[in-house]
Amino acid sequence: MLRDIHFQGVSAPLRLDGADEVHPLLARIAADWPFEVSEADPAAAPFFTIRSVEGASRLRCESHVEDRPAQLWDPVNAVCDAIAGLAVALPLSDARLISLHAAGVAFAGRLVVFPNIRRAGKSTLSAAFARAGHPVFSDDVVPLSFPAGGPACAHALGIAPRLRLPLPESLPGDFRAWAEAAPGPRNRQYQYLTLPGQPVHGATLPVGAFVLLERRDGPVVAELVPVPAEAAMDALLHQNFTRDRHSGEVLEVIAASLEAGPVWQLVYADLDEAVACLEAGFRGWAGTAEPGTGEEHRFGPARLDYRPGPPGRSVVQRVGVVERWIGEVLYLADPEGRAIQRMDALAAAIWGMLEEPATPDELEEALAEAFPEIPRERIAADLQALLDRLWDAGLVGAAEVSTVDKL
Amino acid sequence: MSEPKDTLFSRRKALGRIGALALAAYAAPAMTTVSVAQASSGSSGSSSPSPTSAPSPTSTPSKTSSPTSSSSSTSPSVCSGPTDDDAGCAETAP
Repeated sequence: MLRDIHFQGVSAPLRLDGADEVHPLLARIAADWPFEVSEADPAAAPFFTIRSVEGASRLRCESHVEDRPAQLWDPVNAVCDAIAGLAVALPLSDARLISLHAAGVAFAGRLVVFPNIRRAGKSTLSAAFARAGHPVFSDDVVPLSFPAGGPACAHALGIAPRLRLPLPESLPGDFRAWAEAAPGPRNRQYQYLTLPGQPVHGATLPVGAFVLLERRDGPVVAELVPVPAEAAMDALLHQNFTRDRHSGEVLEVIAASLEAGPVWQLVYADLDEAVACLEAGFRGWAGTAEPGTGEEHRFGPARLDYRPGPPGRSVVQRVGVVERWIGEVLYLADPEGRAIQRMDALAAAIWGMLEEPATPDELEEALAEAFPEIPRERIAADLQALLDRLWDAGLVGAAEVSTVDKL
Repeated sequence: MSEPKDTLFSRRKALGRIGALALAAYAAPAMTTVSVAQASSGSSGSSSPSPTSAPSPTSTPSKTSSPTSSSSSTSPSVCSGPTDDDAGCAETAP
């Protein structure tokens, strides 16, 4: 029997072909994300399909929103895989959102976002915060929208937190006992924690802070330390997996989010110390930006069909490039929004010279004057390599053409 | 032909920035790609299924080390499906 599961806020359905064991699992894992079940609509394109395989206990799982091969999973992992697809499908239905691979936990009415790669401890930490009474918006994916005049706004998913099994022996005994007794589906690899009172899908909070996790194996006192803004920028850009958006718009909203408050790194080894450290650090939000009340930004698509024209004698910055200084680092996005580039100090200075048309010879002359001890051939080669990359990235154009663009 | 005043000013400003950098050791100017947009995948809710060209997993952000080199770290981080070290919970589908 073919059925479609429609999650609130997502246009495309999850399709079940047989797979009767999935529905009751979903009800416990996506406990706070409302969904409806209907007969499959052949005209509707699913974001994910789970299919029974005759004579096998595993389920065939295929994502239609990610480029990866189909897998045979046991039922718990099949739901886990479908939820990864769901996280990709959500922003496809909502132009306000970009989604970060991150955890998000509420402290005193604001969300603290942990934009970390796998194995940084964000799921275990999220579970520990849930145990301590903090609402967990997500332990893996945080969708963000960007209201005018305020910090980013985080959206709750309504998916139960998940722990990887076996739990490490290094975790505190009382936490391990709590987790092992917590209700929720599990298999040999994962345990979901179906906890009461967690935020329902669509609940929102303004982002209060971004915290990068640095888990150490050795003994270290847990502490929050400031992070250079550019390190935070790199982490946020990397953790954003909604990549069909216009890169210039993504650069603008993330840069604005970083201006709303400092970014921190939590260095820790002990789970209980980490919880106490963050509770002490984020017990209030005095001095941080007020929530925005303006219209939320709606992202446009990147235009991927741009091809650089023929090179001219002199080059100039293209009209429409988005520039943002984050700390000491310049970030650029091309007018079509195809990519974001990070410029080191010398590349940024050369970029500045291209505010007006310049020939490679003129640029080389300026560099040779500044670095007289460097062989001229090396400077010329380095400069040409940079100009080629700027050209290919659509950041500069031939001076004559760009002048026409301006008109 | 003489350059306009504002052109000269911005050029002088940029030259000043390069001049300030001259106090440090020379390193080739570096531009690193930190994020690349990708085509939207098909299943946003209408018409027929079209399997995607969405993000591919993995990779870590690159550092700005090699001179003027392109970063290959542009694949985004992805949400955690049950992909690695699956404890015997999976097989690859035929």
